[in-house]
Amino acid sequence: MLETTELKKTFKNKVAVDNVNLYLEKGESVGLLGPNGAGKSTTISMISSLIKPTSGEVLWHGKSVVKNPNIIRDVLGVVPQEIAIYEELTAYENLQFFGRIYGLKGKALEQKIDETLKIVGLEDRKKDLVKTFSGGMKRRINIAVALLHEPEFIIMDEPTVGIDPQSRNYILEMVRKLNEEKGMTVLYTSHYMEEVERLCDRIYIMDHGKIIATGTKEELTSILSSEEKIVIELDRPYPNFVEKLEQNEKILQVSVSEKGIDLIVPKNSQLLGEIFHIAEKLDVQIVHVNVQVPTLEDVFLHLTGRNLRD
Amino acid sequence: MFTFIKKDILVMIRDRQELKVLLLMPFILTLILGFALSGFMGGEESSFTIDVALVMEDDPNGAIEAFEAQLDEQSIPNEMKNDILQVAHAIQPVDILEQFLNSEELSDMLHVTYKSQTEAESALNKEELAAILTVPAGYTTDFLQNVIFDQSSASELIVTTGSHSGLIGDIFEDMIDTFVRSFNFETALTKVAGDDIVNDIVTDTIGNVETVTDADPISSTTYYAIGMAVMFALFVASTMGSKSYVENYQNVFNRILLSGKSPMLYLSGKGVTTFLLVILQALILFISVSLILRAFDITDPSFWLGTLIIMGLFALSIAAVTMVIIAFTMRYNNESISNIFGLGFVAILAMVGGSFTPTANLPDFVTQIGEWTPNGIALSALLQWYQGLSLEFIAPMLGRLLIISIICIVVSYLIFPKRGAR
Repeated sequence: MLETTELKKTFKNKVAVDNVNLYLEKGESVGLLGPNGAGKSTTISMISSLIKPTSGEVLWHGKSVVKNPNIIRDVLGVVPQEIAIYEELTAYENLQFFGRIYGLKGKALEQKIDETLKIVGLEDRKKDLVKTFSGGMKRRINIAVALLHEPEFIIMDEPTVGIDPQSRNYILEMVRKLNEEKGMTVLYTSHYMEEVERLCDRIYIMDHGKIIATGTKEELTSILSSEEKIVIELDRPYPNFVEKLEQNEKILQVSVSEKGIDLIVPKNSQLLGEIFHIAEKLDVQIVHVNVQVPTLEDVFLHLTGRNLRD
Repeated sequence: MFTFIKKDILVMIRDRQELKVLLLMPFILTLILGFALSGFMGGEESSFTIDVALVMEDDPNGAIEAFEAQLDEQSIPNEMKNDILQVAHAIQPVDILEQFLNSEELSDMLHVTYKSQTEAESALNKEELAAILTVPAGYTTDFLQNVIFDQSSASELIVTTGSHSGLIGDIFEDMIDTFVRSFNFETALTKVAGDDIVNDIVTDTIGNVETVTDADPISSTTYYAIGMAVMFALFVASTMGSKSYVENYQNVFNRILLSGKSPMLYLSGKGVTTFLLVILQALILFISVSLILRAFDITDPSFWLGTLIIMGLFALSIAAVTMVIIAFTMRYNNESISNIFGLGFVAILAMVGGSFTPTANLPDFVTQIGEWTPNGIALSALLQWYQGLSLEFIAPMLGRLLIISIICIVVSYLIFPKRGAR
């Protein structure tokens, strides 16, 4: 349904997106995962026809979006990262304005506004000015605007940034329903690994403008299938302990976390005894130890040497 | 386009702070500048009257007869005697003084009554008068002796004011002083030239009201109402530019683009909204200053005809300027363009366009620049229309507004980003 080939965007000699190839099938929910500045927003701006690529192509059902942006605009809904609505207007007035510019009018528009407000759970607040809304409610009305004209393909760019867990959960559940119950194709960008894990059938991992890995969650985590993760919680930071662990050739990766140290080690390597021995020698107080199956976060760390939230 | 206009107007109405600045400030500034600088402007209708008494102790007719008799006794040729007598009749000081006091130009301000000295002093004490002007006995005789024969010293007119007279008494004293100086000067000229021009010169020189042009005078309140209307219209342009920047920054503009609507429709909507806001702003100002300060005669159909034609074209030019500001703002995604316009450029345009002071008081090159600013053109056109000049006379200025509008609209369409904002 949608395909990008060798998509590239350069801003003043800085390559923001570098030869990105991705595709989406009808009804799929696809995640674009990457840290801030990875090039996700530029990629979706090119897909949605707002930015012209420096080179490469965006194809919608085989036709060039670059040459004819209108072929995708009618069927596309975009939820930008910013709250792209008028805060001085009410929720209803916002939807009425955007509905009209999409060509809806009369009773059809009224009906669509009511339906959309119900989907985002704001039917009781439709007459209130958006500037009186909480962050989560603004995010929901931001999504409502993109749903108004019943798009078959929706792009959501970090739709849960800066909101409380309850609103976040509401939005994630809403996206899941749109995909599963209404059959909407979803391209979801985020730097929250758990959101992408929960919502998406397939995932593209992006860093420094490039797609560095792709596949289902299982396929991606299988990159680390021969490894396991040891999470060590410490009472305080111990730089000399980190140094000693890094010198150990059996340990594949050492990273300092908020509460201690995360290690990637070969599966069944039985390194725990050795780790405790080093800790004892250096007088390190271990509070907690947990051996885990690798997550997408670990995959990203493994591929880039950085955390998603860096 | 109606959807865009409705949205823009709603957004503007809900921004109370901005609305206050755009709608209330022009009225407040008109009020302040109109009163504070009323003396600076010509054409004020008098807001006060000066009640004076003229005490005539002199006998001008008797003085002329006595002068004739005296002339007969002189051993000079008859032809010369006739010439001197003609001059003496022409420069009778009391007649000229009375003409001055009762002139049409001063009739609104100066109320003169003839009284005896006793009656006048009594009225002054009762604060019924601001001043007494006394023409002392022998004033005409002394004057003629002094002017014709260079004998005797001229008598002086006496102005008596009371403790209550204050500024009004001072003004009257200044008026008489100016009259006397001017009269003496012209009399000296006549004496040298031997020409009968005194009446014409004196009545033309003294007491005339200065006006902006040769047409009807304009009050300072009217002037500043127009000045503020054209200046604050420029702030509408700046505000619309800033609001477009916010729409761009928050990606609302991108959402509009994604709807498939032409970006030019968005830009045109901004232009139409600006046009409507400028008209609305001017109408609110003109009607309020008319009702409260009587700055305009809003019952006069010609007021509406001129106002709507001139303000219509002016609003079009401001809409076009707004479109240029928005085009640059969106193209470079930079608010500083509308900020620089609002914070600095508007003040310069207002100054050279004459919103703070008539351009006649400014250097020539500034006046010439002002003649090509939309606000300067509109201000001149409105002033001249309210002063009674015909539309034919104003047409070249309207043509200039149209040229500015067309150029700006074309430039804005060329600059405005066609695909996305960035």
